[in-house]
Amino acid sequence: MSTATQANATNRPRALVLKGDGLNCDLETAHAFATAGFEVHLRHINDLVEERVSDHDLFPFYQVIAIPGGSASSDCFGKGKALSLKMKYEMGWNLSHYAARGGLVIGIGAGFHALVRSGVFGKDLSLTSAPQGKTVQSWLKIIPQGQTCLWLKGLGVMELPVRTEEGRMVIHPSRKTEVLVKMQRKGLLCLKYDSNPIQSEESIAGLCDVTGRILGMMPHPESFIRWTSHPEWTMSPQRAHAPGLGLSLFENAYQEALRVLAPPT
Amino acid sequence: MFARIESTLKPEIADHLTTPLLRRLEMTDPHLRRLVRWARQVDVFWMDVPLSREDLIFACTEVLWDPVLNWLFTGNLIPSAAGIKGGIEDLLETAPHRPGNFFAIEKRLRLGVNDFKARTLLSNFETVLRRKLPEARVCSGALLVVEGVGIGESQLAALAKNYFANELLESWTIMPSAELVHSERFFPERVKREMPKAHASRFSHLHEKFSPTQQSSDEMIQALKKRGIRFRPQEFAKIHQHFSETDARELHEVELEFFAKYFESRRVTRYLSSEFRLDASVTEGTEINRSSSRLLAETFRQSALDNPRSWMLTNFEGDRPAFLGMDDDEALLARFDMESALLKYDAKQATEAVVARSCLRSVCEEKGVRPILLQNWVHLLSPHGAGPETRRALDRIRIALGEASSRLGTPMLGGHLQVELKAGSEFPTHVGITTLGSIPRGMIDLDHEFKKADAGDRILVLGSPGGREGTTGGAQVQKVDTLMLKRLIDFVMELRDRGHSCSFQPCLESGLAGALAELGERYGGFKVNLDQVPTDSTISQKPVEIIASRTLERILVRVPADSVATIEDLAKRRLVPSAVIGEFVGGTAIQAFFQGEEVAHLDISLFRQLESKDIYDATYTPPAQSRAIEYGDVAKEGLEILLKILSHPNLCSREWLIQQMDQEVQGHSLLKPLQQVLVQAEAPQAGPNDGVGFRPKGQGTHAILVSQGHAERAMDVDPYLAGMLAVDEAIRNGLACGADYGKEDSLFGLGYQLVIPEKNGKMDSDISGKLARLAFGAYFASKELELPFVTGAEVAVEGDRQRPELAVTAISKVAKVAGTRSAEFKTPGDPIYLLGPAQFSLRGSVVAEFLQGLPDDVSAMDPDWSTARRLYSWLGGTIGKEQKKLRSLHDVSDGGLLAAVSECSLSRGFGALVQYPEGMSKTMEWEFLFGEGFHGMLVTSSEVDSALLEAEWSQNEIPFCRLGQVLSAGTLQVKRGDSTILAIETKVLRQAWKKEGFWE
Repeated sequence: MSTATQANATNRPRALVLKGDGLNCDLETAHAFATAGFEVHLRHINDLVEERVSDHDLFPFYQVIAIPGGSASSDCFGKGKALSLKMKYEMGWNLSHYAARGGLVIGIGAGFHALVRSGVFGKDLSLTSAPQGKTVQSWLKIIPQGQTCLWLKGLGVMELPVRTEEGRMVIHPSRKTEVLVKMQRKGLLCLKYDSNPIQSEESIAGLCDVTGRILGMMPHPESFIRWTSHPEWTMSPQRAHAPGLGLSLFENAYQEALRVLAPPT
Repeated sequence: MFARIESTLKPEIADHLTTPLLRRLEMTDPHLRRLVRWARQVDVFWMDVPLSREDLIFACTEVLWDPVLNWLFTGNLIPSAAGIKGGIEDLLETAPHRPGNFFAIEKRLRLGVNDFKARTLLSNFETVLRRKLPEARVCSGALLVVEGVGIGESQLAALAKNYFANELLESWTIMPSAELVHSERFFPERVKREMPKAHASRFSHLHEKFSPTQQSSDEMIQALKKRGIRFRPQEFAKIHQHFSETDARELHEVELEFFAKYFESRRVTRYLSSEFRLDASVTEGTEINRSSSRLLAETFRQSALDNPRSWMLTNFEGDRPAFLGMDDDEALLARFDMESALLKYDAKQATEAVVARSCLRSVCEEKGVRPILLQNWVHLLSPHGAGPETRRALDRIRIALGEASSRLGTPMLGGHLQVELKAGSEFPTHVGITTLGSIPRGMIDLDHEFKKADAGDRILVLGSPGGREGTTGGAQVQKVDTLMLKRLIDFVMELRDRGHSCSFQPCLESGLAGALAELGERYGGFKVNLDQVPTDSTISQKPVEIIASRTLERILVRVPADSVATIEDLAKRRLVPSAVIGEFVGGTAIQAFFQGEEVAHLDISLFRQLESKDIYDATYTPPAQSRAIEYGDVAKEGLEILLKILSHPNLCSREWLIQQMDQEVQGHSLLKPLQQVLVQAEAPQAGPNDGVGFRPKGQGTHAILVSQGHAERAMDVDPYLAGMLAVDEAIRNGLACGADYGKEDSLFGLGYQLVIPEKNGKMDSDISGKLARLAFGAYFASKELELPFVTGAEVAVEGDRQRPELAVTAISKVAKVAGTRSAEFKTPGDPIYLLGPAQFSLRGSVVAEFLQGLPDDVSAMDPDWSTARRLYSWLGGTIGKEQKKLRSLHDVSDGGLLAAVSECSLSRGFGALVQYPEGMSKTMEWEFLFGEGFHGMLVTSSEVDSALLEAEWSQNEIPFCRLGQVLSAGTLQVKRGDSTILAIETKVLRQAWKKEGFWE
């Protein structure tokens, strides 16, 4: 039986998926959470600002916050910049506090940018364009690293679509070694590219925070909820209705959210 | 306070803005590239903001500074945000040649051009400072800092004009190194001088009136042309006659602009809607017997009447495509938009504009159609292969297509790049965009008629303020604010989903005037107050300029009076500027006011009444016979030809183009234009598919497929044949992807895109004849294959071209997703079959183009529609039951059979054995391996299933031929009897196909 059907319909974990201002992957991200079993609330950022929803209001009502990918507004100043400013100054959200209280956060693509620019993973990191200045639109092999990240628990190598102009992770040049050692020690380097066409430093494809509850990643797991999204699915058409490997991340989040909702006695 | 802020990436971070610029320079002007030894780009902002120094430092630090990535040069404002010296010297010192010869080119947007970068900066300042800054003004620009030897003003000017700035949108100046290292440019007084100045009031006194009773038609046309109001003589004659005789009065320039823009908006189907007087030569050898024809009504639209289908929910009429019932709940709409004229000004901006137009047109249909897929067709003429202008333009188009898909959140699932290596202009001929959208069936007005507005309904304008685009003195090209466009699209969808009863009208190439005229025609008379139309704060506009502005990301909305407040409130929350500019008053009059004065009063019926109808004479002269030549031995020459075919710009990999486009957003794509192999490959590699597919509902059981057909070379044989071939190819490509065909409820609709050459705004009779034959051919094929045209578009292309061009798009459905197929060979050992009554010919083939002639005994290329229907019905699942046993399917088209086999081998790196009997003549061998024509399909199945399949093909009278088998060894072998005549490794084929570096 899938995790989705195990859940009690009236007591399902809730996921808040942000939308608006260029977060173009809102619908598919919401669909991914719903498929994993969550009750999904798709909310426009400006409505949350207007309603003054603070991070204290978010937990325990929402067990997950998802910042989808897309072309978040004002990417002329760095993708995700405007969103991170909005979260900091207009919404007053501190996602590290939210995670420390038991919430889960995922930022995908532009959402990852917003997390990085918010300083969730430290101040010595940034994301920029690949040196050749070209967009990378391709399915790539991704390798999970370490055991820290709850979203990636039990996952092995998988293929996911990467589509970005600005997915190259850059570590502060003068503090690179120190920052890397620190990140490795704390288990923040949770996802790497097998091949690295974006020329991301240390092949970084994703990062998590020290609690393992906040995950930011450039590849798009919400685009691989169905097997038919995989480029090679026509090799085995009998699996046309099978789930895609990307769903596993959302199912991991579902299990963790259930655990938080009803901690074992 | 006044401030100038410069932002640049740190020297150790690769500059992704300058690298592509230098790459383009290397590609197109290697000499100048050698002179430029180093270059970096710096973003510049000029600010006049009512902030304290501390607040400005705080806002700039938060918004513009990323300590890991960039430096800010600010004069003395934030010296710590740069390197050791706190200024641009820090950057210059990292140049490899020191002390070096430095120069800079500074560019900035011209007045009235959409400066969304500045707007976004201000909006971010407002976010971090938690207050609105209505008095603040910011404008943006950039500096290109260059170091090199032998660089003078002329080289810098070339660099600025051709690579760095678009002179239509931006002005530029050269900054010598002395000025660069000094900080005068940061002085507040200088920044103040450089800020754009807005006029305090509009030129309300500059209203001009024209008197048809006092001036002749020609005099008025010339006078209006100087004011940017353009009419064709035959159009204006009727207006002149009406207002000098029937209703003799003076005309305000606003009224004339309404007419001009309305006629412009009607030109989207100008040629096809006209009457064609057909010479007998035009219909000779065709199944058409007419002496005159309105092509649109009697070919493309007639096909829908000939083939009524339950899934066609509305009729294809005007420039409105039919709504197609996808399932019980949802409907599809396919819209084409094409751009040609503006590409030469700025290929990137023009491409962005055509994508925006295509999306907005779709979104504004009915209660709002959600865009779910984009496709493109880029058509280039190039006299000497890929010349510098073509390369530069194509690179700009590539960037625009990639950005459009990612910023609009709509997947760009492939397209077609067509290159003609013949004489012609260097610039791209046109860019065509297809938008597929979905809408709940219940939201479609099945009567397909517009309901009159209620008196009191308001007219709202939503989106960006009007700029100077399209007005006198303004740029013709439009700088699209994709963020605002996306907000508008989302906003329309939200209004739809919240159940607001609104109607939408986009402001497109015909500006606010065209949109208002159409709104009046659809919903009845109204009054508008042009003072209320939001305009760019940096410019002042006359009323005629307000309605002429072509700012794209704007729509008009008809709103019931009691919903206005709710909608305006929602618009405010979504950061979509809105303003009520008028209201419907009943009746049939359009009235416009400016500063209390009536500037237009026109009856709506006049627009149609005064529209001119064109008549074209059409004659047809068959093309000259090809040069007769003898072909050599295929065993000796075939290999070279095959590699040349795979490297042909129309057949080779467009991975560099396709992989710039977002194919995964929305998560529904099913079949991509390139079949990428990841799992067993050392590095990702790909081969071509015949079409694309997506699951419109994500989890639904069915899929929609989109495929295209072109027959550009067949135009040189006979346009009638080319029309048939394009339709057949589009359908074959759809079937190759697994489309259902032949059942009453099998959704399978066709769309046309026509490129029509004209010279000085006119089409000559020979081109008219070719156009008519082309349309007749497409119509006849659609009739024979029993599929209707449901959508289409045309574009006129100015130049010396002598033939029109047709692309046919097929939109089809596969009821069960598992039935979708891809083209690549899947398993070694699988038998390979050629299916269908494939009568291949060298006429119109790639080989004939290469060898520039044909043998005497070449075959004719004739369709066999009855056998084709049987084959297509079997492939489409209507007859037989073994179709699922097919493992791969690929149609045989450009390049012929061997090109098709090679393409199937590419992605997995398998090889293939192709065997044919001895005894064929030399020409027959060439035709078998490289000939092109109708109805040919290449399929594979497992060996186990082959007997069952062969029995079913025989039973259904479907011609088939077992060609050989898929080989695990990566080698393509061609055998004549037992002797090998060609053998080549697949990796060599892939190298030829990829032709890396062809375009860049």
